[in-house]
Amino acid sequence: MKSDMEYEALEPSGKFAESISDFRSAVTHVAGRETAQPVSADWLAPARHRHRKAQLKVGLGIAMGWACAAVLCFATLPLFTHPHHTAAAHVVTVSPAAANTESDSALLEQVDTNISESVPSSLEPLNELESWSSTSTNTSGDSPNGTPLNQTEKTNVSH
Amino acid sequence: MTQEHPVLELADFDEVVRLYRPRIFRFLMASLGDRDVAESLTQDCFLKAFNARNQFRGDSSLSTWLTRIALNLVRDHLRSRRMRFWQKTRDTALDLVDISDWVPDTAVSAETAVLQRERVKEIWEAVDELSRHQRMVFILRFVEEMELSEIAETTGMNTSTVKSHLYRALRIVRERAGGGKA
Repeated sequence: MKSDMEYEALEPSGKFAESISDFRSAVTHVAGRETAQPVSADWLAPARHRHRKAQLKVGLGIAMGWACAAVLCFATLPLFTHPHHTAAAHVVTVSPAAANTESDSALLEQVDTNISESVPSSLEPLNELESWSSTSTNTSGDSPNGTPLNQTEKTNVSH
Repeated sequence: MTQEHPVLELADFDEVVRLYRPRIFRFLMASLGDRDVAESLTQDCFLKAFNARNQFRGDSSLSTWLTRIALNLVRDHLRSRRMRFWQKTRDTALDLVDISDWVPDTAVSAETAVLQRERVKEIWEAVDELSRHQRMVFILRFVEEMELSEIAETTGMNTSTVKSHLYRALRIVRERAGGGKA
């Protein structure tokens, strides 16, 4: 029942069917008139020309696409490479300075350690005397007899 | 032309062109409404068929195969920029395919002939207003007189989809052509 209804819905009838039939006749008539002449030997030549032209257009389109992509890559390449390049340069220029600073400070610390050994207890008074001498030199200059006091004391100590 | 030897069918290509050219041209002209475009696409259709003749296995009839190629050409053409330009200029153009010179059966009276021409013109204008899918299905069914299964095979749609498009197309054409309820 349903299929019959569907068929009726899809198959026009009456005047409407006649109109559609006339429409088909008219289209067939015009098409028959237009294709009445037999085709010539080079009938497909225009189609071949269009086909070649379309292929050429596609080829050019692909080539243009690759060219644009290449130009885009070259144009944006510095944007990607520049930060890395700067960072590398920074590392190259800064690292030796930092290394030198570190090595210098380490060396100075080592020297300080080596020369700042504790004074033996037997020489402790001399050490105190040397401290006093340096203080007095800074404040009054030479000793009363014209000989630097610390030099005299050092001579006595060495003897 | 038999279906047993599909490759042999295409061996004599001139004969294929002679037999099927009017039908393909009719389909393209009814689909696009432009005589020149229909002629160009008919040539393209047969060139494509000739280039792809080794791919034709005879799973469908030669007519269905050629119609499918023509359908794809119509689809491509409608998508192209050239067609968009044509659509813009179409409104201002004259009737591109003049079917008013169609002479109905001479046995009918002059008055009846005028009425027939008027009805054909109304159908033609109504079909032109259909959507692409509706127009394709309508033309394949009522101009090419294909069965629903053939239309489904040619267009790649389901049969139910074909029925749906055909139902809507008929309703629209009936309303716009003033046919009333059949």
